Amino acid sequence: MTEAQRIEYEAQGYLVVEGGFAPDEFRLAQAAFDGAERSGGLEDLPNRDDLFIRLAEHPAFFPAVHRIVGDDAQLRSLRGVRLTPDSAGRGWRREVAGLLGVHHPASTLSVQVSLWLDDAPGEGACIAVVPGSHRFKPDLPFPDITHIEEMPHHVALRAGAGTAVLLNGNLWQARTRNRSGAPQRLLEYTYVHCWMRQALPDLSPHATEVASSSHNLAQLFGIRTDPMDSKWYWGRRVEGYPPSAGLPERRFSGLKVVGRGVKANE
Amino acid sequence: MIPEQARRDYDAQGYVLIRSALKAEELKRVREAFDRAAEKGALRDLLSQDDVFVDMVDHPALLPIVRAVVGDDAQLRYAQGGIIRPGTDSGSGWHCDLSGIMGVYLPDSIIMTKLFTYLEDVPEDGACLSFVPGSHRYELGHPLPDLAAHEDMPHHVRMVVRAGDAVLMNGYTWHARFHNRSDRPRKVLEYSYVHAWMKTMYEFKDLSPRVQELVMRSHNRRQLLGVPEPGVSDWGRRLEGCEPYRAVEVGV
Repeated sequence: MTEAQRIEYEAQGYLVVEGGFAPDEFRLAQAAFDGAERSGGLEDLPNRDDLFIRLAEHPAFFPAVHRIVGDDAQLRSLRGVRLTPDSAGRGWRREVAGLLGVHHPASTLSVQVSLWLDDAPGEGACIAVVPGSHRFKPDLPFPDITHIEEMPHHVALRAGAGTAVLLNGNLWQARTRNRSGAPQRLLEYTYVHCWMRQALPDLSPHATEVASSSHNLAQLFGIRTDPMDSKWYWGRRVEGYPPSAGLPERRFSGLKVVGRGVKANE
Repeated sequence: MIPEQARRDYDAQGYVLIRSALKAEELKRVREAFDRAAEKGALRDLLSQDDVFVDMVDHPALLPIVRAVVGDDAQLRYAQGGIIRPGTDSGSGWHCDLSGIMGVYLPDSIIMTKLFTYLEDVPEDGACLSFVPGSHRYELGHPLPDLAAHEDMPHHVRMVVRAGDAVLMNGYTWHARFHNRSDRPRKVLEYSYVHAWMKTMYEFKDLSPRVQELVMRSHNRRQLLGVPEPGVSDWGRRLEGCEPYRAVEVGV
């Protein structure tokens, strides 16, 4: 993630990453999607093709996810979506609105990655966002609008095939109706922290083996490495990237514990 | 203490002291069960040791306060017991439990809360839990003073409590447990509450059949012990008595 991308993301709450896939690699992803769809497995992607597991740490977008979420990044969910011609959109929402206890405008609990597998035609569906809304006060109500397109100051992110769109989970977001005559395919990967619950399908023995094949994939898929350690998930950290405590930047105290000493009896 | 008052105190100070949370008969029952568990060396596996410890998860005098503080999506992270023997140097240094957690702006968030329920009186020299009031609002990165001993922390307060009292503590509040210089053991139940969307220290399937049976008896217990609710995401779970969560979406 470049410094310019970091500033862009911090200011707007989203990031568009283009051109990170080789053509052959991308065709394999499209074919894997179609195979999963044929077998009714768009909600069960990790068990349908190893490619979907490995894609979770793809260099096209994962370094940015890691920088934003931090070293304790973990996958919450992944699924495939086919937007058939004239399929409905999704209204304006904040994905993390139901998570109580957190001051969301200054926190980052989740990042959603939408990986588009088809070019968006002119009237096709696209993700819409209100730039900067991830910092809005949490009790700010949505305007009373009827149609998604009526949201003031929104931006429609028209993405081509191979584009990854990263959204802060607190950003005001919607998806417009697919008014084109062509279907659109996309993959949705949602990342959270390793101390948060996941919503993945139960992994098959084979999928577990693939996800356990590297330290980072094991963390992303929540594979438990030490069955005896009840705090196993608190301290997980991905490897191979510059250390990140997530965005926005945090400062942590150098001293963790002080004053253990024993005062002499007087 | 009414939950609203507890919430105000907790918001202001980062902890709240709840006097006489357990009545005498109840205290006796809990203490006897605690002593049996301690004899077996099973204080880390408290829920399986006696039904009374499951009853404490949603205790009518305490859960409303936990709920007022944590929210309607409260969940138990763990339950355990602890004893600090008389005359032991077993204190922990000053720290906050959440100092390294990523992603959350802690001065304005409540991620984890610990509930301590005392089974014996704790005198001033008896391994008191101690706090720096208001420190749960410190900006991230606020420096810890480099102290030699517990007692050197400026402006701290000690929880000198009676058996049956309880203390609820924000996991971001600076706290320490002092050494036990008294002639009596400190016996305490420690129940940690988080949110339903967070992981816990055990899964429901790992609990004993008896505990599972007790948990399945009510909606609140199922949520508190992390039993999945069909059709409801952990991002939208709510305790009884409030409207089920429905995500707001505007526009078509």
